[in-house]
Amino acid sequence: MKPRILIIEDNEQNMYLLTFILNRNGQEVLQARDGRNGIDLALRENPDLILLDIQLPEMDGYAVAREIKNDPVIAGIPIVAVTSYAMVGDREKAIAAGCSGYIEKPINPDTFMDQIAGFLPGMPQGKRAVP
Amino acid sequence: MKLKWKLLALFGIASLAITAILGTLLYHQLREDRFQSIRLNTLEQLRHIAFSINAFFDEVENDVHALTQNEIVCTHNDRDFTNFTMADEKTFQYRIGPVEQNIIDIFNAYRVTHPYVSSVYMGRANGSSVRSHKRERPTRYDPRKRLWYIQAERFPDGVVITEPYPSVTTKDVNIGVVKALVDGVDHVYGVVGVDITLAKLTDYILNFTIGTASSILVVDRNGVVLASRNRDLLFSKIGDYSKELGQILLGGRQAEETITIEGIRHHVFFRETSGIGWKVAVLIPAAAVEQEIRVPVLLTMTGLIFGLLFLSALSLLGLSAFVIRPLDLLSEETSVIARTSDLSRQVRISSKDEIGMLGTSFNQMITALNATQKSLQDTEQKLIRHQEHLEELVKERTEELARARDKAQEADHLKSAFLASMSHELRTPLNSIIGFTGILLQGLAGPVNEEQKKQLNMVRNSSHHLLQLINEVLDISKIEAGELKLSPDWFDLSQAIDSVAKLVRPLADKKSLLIRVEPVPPDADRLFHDRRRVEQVLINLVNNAVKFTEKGEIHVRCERHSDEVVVSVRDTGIGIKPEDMGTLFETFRQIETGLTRRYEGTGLGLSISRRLVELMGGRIWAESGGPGRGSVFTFTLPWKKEEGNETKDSDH
Repeated sequence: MKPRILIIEDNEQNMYLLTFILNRNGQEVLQARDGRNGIDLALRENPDLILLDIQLPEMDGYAVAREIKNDPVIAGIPIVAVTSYAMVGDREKAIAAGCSGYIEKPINPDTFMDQIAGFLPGMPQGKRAVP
Repeated sequence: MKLKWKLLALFGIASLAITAILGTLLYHQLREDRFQSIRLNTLEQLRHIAFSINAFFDEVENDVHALTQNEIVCTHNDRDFTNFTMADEKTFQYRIGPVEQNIIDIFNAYRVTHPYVSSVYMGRANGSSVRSHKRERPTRYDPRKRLWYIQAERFPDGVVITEPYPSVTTKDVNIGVVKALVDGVDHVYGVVGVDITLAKLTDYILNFTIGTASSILVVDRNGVVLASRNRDLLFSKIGDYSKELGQILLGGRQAEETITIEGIRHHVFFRETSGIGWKVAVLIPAAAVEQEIRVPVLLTMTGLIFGLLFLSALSLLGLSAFVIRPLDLLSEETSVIARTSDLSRQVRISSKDEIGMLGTSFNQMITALNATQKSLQDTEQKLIRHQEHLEELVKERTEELARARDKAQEADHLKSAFLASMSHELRTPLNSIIGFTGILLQGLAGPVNEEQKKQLNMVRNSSHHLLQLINEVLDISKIEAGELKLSPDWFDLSQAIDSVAKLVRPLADKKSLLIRVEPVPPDADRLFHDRRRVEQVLINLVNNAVKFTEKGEIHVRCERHSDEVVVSVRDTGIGIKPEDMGTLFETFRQIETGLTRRYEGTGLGLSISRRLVELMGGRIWAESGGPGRGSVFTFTLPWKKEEGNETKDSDH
């Protein structure tokens, strides 16, 4: 069974890029355009991994991560923050909110799959998210 | 000690001294005066007594002489007179004839009219005796064998006074005053005598009173005491009573001496009577004189002491009122002022004397002090006001500064937020550009020909360059805002260098440059720093070296010097002009070579490197032999020994 990855991202181009790369690499992608939808979708579909943009309308990525981690039904799903936020403490804040990994935008298509591989079930333990 | 007591002591000492001196002088003077007075008085009395005795004996002698001249008495017809020469006490009978009776009457008349005469008598050459009164017992008696008769017979021309002798009939001592009866041919045919009772003489003499304690002695020319108040002395030898007194009395006609009799000092005055050579002596105990003057001296002394005490008391009272009390007041007031520092007080002394002046001066001083203190207080108040004002000013300024600081911080935050936002906004499109270029180049969206691939690579390189620019601008902003936080951890320097070399090598390969990394010495390998930032510096330096070198090699080496690790990157590139050395590490200072296009870069790399190295506690510098001779970039990092040897997970 194909791993299912939920992408929560409001930027259409990024959503398309990530979806394209994942699809091409044989992953099933679930899309949410904002945090609320993302959480609903996670609850409904129980994906294997959540790629979470931090700068989202209304409810930001940190809040989304916290809510997911506070819901015992979906708390077990690993979350990897994908963000162009690069200020001091961004990474720490993301980890504190419950994210397991952190990928800085812009993503590198050549290495992206390697970066998320470690968080996917049934995949060999590869290199984890680049700090 | 208080002034009062000092003065009292002074007065006491002065009084004592005065009393002592005056007392001694007075005592001696009085004693001398008194002695002289007693002496003169005594001598006068002595003269009187001597004169009286002389007169007395003259009178008695005259009387006796007169008796011998009496016709009746001097009769030669004495055959029938009473005769005891052959008398027998048992058988004797008085047969007194008219002639004898006449004589007896004359004798008795004389005796009665002269109380000191105890008897008048007459002895005759025929052994008969005529007496003024009868004998007590008619025993055998021969007048011619009696001393008085013999003495009178021996000096027929004069009246003879006999030695004193105890009375046969009474306890008195008698002295006989006798005169021979002489007829025309110097023939003694009888002796008339008068016996004088010395008891009466003593009484007479003792009538002279010379002071109460004095005693009068009458001594005959042989030293026998004839009259004395002390009757035990009567008829004893004066030498037996006091040898010294005896010598004085018998040694001359008159004298004044001071001698010791029976352990008591006496003044002795004596005078010899001219006629019979008796010595009349007055003994006055020396103590008596002193006794007499003791009372006046004591009275005078007492008066003197009381007078002095009165004077002292008066002086003290005066001193107390005029000096001590005002002084006390002054001293009390000064001590109160000294204790309480209350300068509003004033000394209350109203007198016009020196003390008053002192008080006035003191008050003036206090007033002056008060004024000084007030002005000091005023100054202090002013100072306090100034200080308060200053504090207010400081407070205001501080608040202004705080506001300015808040504003600056706010501006800083705005700047940071702006940069974060910019960074995000710039990266989001780059995200797409780099992402899709990568996808296209990977052929995920379909095959691309070589020309397209070449062009896509250009797009990708430019995108990366743009990203690097954005990242560096962001870095420098963060450093300048002090927001760049290091996350130090243990890591291997060799691994960091390897990964950097691996990253840069493709670029070097393109220019056929060799990147030579010397093995890291084991003692310099383990570092406790932020690996990502160390790598950033290394990347920058190696990248620069590759960028500015056309031929030759890049040489990376590191070593440890005591507590720091030194990393150097040497190239064989274009080198650095000396004038550029100073600005090499400054922000936005890519060296103006006119080759900007050829050497792409933000000019921020070295500036960031320097800030990162300094942030980690190290130094960074560059050396060059000059243009075209290559350059060496060196940085140091503090080194410390790793505690234990656990390999920590480099992940968070």
